[in-house]
Amino acid sequence: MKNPFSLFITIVSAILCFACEKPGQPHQPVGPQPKPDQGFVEAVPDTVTFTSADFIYYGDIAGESSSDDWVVKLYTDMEIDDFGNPIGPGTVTQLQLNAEFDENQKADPSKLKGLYREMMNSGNFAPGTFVSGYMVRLDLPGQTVEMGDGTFYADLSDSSTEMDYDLIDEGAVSISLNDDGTYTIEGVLVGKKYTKRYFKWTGDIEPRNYVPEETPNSTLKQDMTGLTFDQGQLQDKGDYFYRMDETYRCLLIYLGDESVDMSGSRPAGNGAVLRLEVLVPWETDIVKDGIPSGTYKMTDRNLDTSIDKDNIVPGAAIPGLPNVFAAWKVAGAWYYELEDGEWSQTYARIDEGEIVIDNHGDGSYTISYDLLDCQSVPKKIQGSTTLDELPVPGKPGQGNQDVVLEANTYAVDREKASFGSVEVSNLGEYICIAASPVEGVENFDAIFEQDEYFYVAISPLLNGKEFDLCTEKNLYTVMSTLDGAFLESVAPGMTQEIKAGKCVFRYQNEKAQVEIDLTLADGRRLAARMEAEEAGIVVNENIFAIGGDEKPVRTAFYLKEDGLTTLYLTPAGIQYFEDIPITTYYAYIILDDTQCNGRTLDVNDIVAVGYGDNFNEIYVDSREVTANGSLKVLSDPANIAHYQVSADITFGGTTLKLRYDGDAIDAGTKEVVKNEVVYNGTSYGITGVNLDLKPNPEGTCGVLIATDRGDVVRITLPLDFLDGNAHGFSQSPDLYMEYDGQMYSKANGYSGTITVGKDESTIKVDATNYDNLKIIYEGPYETVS
Amino acid sequence: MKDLMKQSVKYIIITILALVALQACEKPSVPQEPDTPQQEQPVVEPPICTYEYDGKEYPVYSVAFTADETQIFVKISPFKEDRPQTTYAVIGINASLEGIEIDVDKAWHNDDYYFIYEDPLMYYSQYRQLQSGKIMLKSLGEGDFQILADVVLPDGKTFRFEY
Repeated sequence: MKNPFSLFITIVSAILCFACEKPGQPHQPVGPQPKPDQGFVEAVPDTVTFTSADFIYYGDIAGESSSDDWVVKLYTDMEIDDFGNPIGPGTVTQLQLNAEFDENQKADPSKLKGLYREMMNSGNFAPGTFVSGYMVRLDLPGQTVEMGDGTFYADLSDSSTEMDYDLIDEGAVSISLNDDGTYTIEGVLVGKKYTKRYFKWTGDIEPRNYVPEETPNSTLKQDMTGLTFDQGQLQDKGDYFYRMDETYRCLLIYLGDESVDMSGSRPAGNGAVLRLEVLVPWETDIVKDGIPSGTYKMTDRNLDTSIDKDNIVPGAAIPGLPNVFAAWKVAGAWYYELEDGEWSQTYARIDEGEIVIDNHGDGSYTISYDLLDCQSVPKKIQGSTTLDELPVPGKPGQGNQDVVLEANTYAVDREKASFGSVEVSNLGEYICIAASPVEGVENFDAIFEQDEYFYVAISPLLNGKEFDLCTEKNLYTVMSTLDGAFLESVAPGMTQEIKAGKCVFRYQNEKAQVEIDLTLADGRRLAARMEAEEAGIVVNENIFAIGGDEKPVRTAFYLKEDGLTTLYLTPAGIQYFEDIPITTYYAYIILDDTQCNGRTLDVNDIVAVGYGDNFNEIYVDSREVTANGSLKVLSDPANIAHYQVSADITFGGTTLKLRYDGDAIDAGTKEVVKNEVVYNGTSYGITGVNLDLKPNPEGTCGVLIATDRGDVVRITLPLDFLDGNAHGFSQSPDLYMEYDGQMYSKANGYSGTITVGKDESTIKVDATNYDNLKIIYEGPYETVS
Repeated sequence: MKDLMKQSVKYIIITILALVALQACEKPSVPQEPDTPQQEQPVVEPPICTYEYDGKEYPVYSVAFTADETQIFVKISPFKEDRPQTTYAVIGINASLEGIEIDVDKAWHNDDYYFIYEDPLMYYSQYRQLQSGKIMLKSLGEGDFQILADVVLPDGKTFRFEY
């Protein structure tokens, strides 16, 4: 959509140009005398002179070939501790600069010269701008660390390595080359503390080049024609893409040289391998029928490597999955050459072409392939192979583990045993399966009362996906008290109890199936296969992903106004549209009511798509930055609140992926706030609220909420958190809740968010520990002081 | 609609920049440097009025007033117009709210009201939302106006100007 304001901007910009002298690079303040003027004396600021600097070149991280990312760290003279941290007193400034683009991606200091201002928006990486400061949160074992990134200024107090950050988002920085070959960096920056930071550094620039070396997806130097193989293998991957509609079946074909070892589920040994995946009708029985004859054409992968559902149909072949080289994760079509079981430097991801299968009906085949790799100038992979047989290892449709397990069995170091009881349940939105060798256990909770049990829980985002326990970021938990295979708890970031592991957990049609294969830290092997039927398991399949980091969509809002529909989606479990600004992430789509018809739309044919990352204060809108991609929105005529959304949008280098099918809350409807304390799922009324402002050394206050249960919830918070804004437990050790003999605080391992605001007569409280305690109150209160 | 209002904020900000630039030929979007000290002897004149910033009172030696159909702005400085105004404040409102006391807590920042304050040490640009307070601005014709700005800045410091 054309921007109607663009002409307006041009005119106003022109006025600015004519009205003002062009601002030059920042100058250092001139002092030291105060400046007199008719009785007014203006303060003279200090300029920090940095004595050392560090320059890191990250290159074109935005992938737009418009600018290069540099990080410049400037330090005053400070000692350094054993971990490399500067020890105060002193000052550190980090500048994240979008500098002139270097086609060769070399760390050339001369490209840094120029004037840098704040970015116009978070998606605009134009050269001559700096990236605003933001906080990043690192989850480390047992603790969460927050630290500044982007552009910031930080003071370190005496003998401390703790940085007091001022996140910079305005100002100007100049970098100039001096006659003696040194560079000068100087400027004035302003951040969240509104203080002007004047600084200067002069010295040599010795940059470090951190541009990652890309692993090519194809190393072929020439066409591979007349390619034939001596043996093959056929595997049934079932509903690999999890359509759940029994419309196709994915078959994996390996063709290999004679020297390739095809006895296992993956080729080993030495020699060339062609890996192909074709989609056939669901009814195909590969043991009885083999691969149906026909031509299988490579289908399209989207930019984010996904494949549209419409393209997952019989007759399609699957292109190679880009940038994934781990042996058990490789997917789609590849050509590679093995050396002692490992990939050699000769390999190719296959992107285009077709495969012709001629099933002779007697177990023999002729398989012809006319394929192209993924290089900008593609290389051919062409040939034909005739095989007398195409063996099917293991049992079809059950994966091909080294240990083949029947349903509800497990093996510790290949010694098989059976589960006597298997139960499935929801824990929150997580899908859980628990099994015990003991027969006749009556329910899910009772499984955990047995001496031996095995437990797997997954985020709904992992439903139907094979995942690597050592690298998966979406939440899962595995626990085991099985004899010889004890696992206290394996979860993302807590994998020290295992060396390796993969798992696939499927819940569909009221049936759960789990296959898991673990190598424990001491080298023992635990594999299990569990199946159980359970109705009523809720699977949240709605997806919200910025930059590939997938989360479930937990709340959607819609707003219909002036012929437009606006949809808001967020991973936050909120009830009120007004809470969108305090969510960590949200996305919105604004389009004409008539476009909510389920048809594919180009992003530029609707009013806007955008997202907000409140944690990093990044806000992107397709009206302000270049956006590419498509989306579909379907409004259910029979249920005005029901929407189906599918969107894959790219803003510069960042992707936004949305999948939603469910009811949305009317954002135009003002919900009536019900004052209540919800504890362990039970709602209690609120009979009174006191604000305890009695002075104390910690500088905290208390909010006491009396319930009709006859007890009191106490919220303790720093006085300056009494501001009506949401504050997390991680922001202060003095922020916590107490109820029913339990304290909920960061120190006790709880997460929580508390919002308390008040005026003379009314106090508003919204507090949750995201577990079993939630308080909502808006009404009168009494002050105790 | 909120989104459209957010969209319009950007253009209103640019308008403020243009108006401020036309008034004083400065660019307030970038923090300004303190000026080179002049060697002349100061001539102390009585100020036009005063303003308060962070609890301290300062003289006002220049006041500029600009109004059009959509916005009204006042710029004040402890420097006269012929001096670089490295300390200044800009207060503005949407013209439709002329003469009305605006509670900034309930009003749209950069739509219903505008505020900039800068001196050599501090800079509250037009992008910074005020914490609370009230603004009233009314044109009295022929360049005269009445103003009350009694606000709390984003870091909790106070600013007050009445004229």
